[in-house]
Amino acid sequence: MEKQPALVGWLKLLIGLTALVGVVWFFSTGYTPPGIFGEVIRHNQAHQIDASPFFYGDVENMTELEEGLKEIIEKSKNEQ
Amino acid sequence: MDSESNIKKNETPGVVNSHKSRWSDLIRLEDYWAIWFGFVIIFGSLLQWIPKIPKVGDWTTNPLTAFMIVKEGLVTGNILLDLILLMVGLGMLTSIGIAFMRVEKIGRYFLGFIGVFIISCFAYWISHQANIKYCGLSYAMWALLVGLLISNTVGTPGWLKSAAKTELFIKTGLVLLGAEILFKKILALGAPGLMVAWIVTPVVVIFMYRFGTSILKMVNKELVIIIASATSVCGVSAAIATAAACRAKKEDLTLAVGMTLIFTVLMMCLMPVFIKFIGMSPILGAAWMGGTIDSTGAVVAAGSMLGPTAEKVAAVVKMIQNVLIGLLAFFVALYWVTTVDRTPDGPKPNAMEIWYRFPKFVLGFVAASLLFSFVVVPALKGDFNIVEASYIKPVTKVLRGWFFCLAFTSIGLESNFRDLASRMEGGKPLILYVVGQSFNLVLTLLVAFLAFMVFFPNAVQ
Repeated sequence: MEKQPALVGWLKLLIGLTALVGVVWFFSTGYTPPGIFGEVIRHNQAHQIDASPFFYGDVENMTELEEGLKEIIEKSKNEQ
Repeated sequence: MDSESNIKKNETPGVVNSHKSRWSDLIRLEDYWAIWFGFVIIFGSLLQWIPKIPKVGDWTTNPLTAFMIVKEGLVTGNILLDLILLMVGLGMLTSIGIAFMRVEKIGRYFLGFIGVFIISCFAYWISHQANIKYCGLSYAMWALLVGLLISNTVGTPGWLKSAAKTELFIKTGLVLLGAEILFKKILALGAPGLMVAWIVTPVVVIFMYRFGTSILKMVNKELVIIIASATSVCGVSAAIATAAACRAKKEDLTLAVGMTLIFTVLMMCLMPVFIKFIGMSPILGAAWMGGTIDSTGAVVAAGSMLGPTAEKVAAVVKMIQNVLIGLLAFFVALYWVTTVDRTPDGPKPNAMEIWYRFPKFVLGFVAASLLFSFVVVPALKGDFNIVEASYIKPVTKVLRGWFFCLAFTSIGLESNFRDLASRMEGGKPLILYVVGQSFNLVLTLLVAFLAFMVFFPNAVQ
């Protein structure tokens, strides 16, 4: 009787891990939601944009984006 | 975070305790160890004593690719040995602190650290699947999920729990994050960028805090301020900094991060479509998204939908907001120590009391930022690109990511669904988030309109 709860716990973990692997596999198929919900994700797929960084230092091309904006601002100032 | 520090343990409810800082605190308190670890890594990086830190790679259909070194399409090696060395290195480094703090037996801690590290590797591996990255689902979410899965099924065993040092990992990660926050960045977009990022943010934080505590009457003030910070500043990173500054419970951070991640993905998907649909100016739309979508990656993705210039504007507005994290953590810590944690009828805490209670790692965080902003970068002729390429990208940034991943794994391992559910307070946190984010959307749009369309219409063309 005492062993059963532990067995149930391991069974739940196995089911959970299987579900997790299933979710990962599902994402790896490249599925995107249809319609407007998937538009941005399809755009990210096409341009290989990583949308997961939560801090600006983690964005790979942040320096290029900053430098690019600096040039645009300089150009705007010169044109005025 | 609910720290093992002596501050709360020795408190008698209803009585103001006068505490004295001791020199032994420097080696006994977790906050100081976060500073020592952080600065050992920072100076080790500056002196180039620390080699490049390995990171789990990206993969699409072959999961093993994540652990391979690929150059010009050919597999030249793998990172497994580097990962093992990293695991041993971090385990040994943190063990030193654990030994001095006398909170665990070293052998037990080191064994547990191996387990926590392996689980974190698994979370990183999931998060580096290409489509998962395109959907904006970061490692924080997967680390929490895997940890929660273990703790709510078989239960986290004692030996593993002994290494689930959430607060230590978070605080060390935050000190390292300080090295990436350069104050000069706030000028990147000039006055309009400052208006959107720095005028709206404090207004929204204060509004949400007052709304949560006075209108919704939420009892858990720590949860209120974490949600307010995550919504108004920059999502997960702000939530982490605020949670540590006000010593919140791990479940509060889990709840706030979970809500933020879900709404970030929704806003990333819907906002650019809406902006295009109503024909809003791309620059205005970009500033709006930069000031409201919670994570920088999602902001870049959403901004790129409006064009290359919009992408840059959105990213830089978010970056300017990110710089606020240090100030936010400092002022939240100060407010908590002087006001929230104060006994209602007791006297105002004096300077020594404030110093004793103040979370010291915040000072390490700010010091790292000041060091890089005003010493390191100027010493290299103001060229941040050199600093970033030589010291930050290969070492401090990667280690910061590892420490945060270890922290989220630890939170998951120590949490259970019942505790999380108890924090829902009848849905009030969700109401707070929705109302706060709605207010943030309206105010940011108004200020962005004034900044980019009225006061400085030619700033970005």
